[in-house]
Amino acid sequence: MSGVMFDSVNVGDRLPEHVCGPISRTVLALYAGASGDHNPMHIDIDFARKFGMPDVFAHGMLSMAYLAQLLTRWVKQEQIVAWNVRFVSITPVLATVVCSGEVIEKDKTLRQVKVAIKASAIDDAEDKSAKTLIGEATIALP
Amino acid sequence: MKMPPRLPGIQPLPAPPTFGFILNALSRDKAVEGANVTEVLGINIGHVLHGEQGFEYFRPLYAGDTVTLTTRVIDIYEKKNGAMEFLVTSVEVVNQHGDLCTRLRNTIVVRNPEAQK
Repeated sequence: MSGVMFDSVNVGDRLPEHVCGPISRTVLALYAGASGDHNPMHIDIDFARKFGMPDVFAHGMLSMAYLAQLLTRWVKQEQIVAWNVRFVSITPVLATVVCSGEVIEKDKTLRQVKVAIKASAIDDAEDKSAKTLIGEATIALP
Repeated sequence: MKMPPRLPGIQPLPAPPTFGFILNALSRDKAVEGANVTEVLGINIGHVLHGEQGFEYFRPLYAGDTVTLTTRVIDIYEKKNGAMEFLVTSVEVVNQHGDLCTRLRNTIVVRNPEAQK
């Protein structure tokens, strides 16, 4: 960790992939408690069905936290200047989340790089994969 | 809001990157009048999806800090003839020294099944 230097990073470099899950119902219950996000949509299948969903689905912020781990496994947390994501599809319960990133820009003046980040949910039961979060992070490098 | 206490002789523990979002959720649980934007606007949680989330960092947050959150509604707009409504808010997290630590930008999508019919 923290060995990443500005001069040794190139546009097109990929961050080491970070794989999390499968996301069990227990993980969702624990994340609800830990995060303070008690929306029953993520923990109560009866509630989810009432609102037209076939089952509970994972908190978007759980996958964003996994993406944070992708970044903090690459650089120190304090090197993250700013980042944002768009939640493009839901992460079904029991899915495996695959986080990846690629350097897309180098700013020599600020000694910062932009990293395109992405999370995908692999649903083994349905044998399909979908992009769930896409975004960008600005990272300061020594 | 008070973060958990700092133990003597222990290095201050920095909050993880997405912790500002958790502070926001906890502040809603404190039931401060007007703190829960979705409640104030009469939004049903069953119709809410998280659309976008951003963080800007200015100073680290540590265990033991006392923080103040200020939420502003930045934008409200709709798509598909009101079938989807978007609420954009900004939350600033300021520590006990008055320093801005984190700024969050949050977009939620409210599905409005009535409008689709």
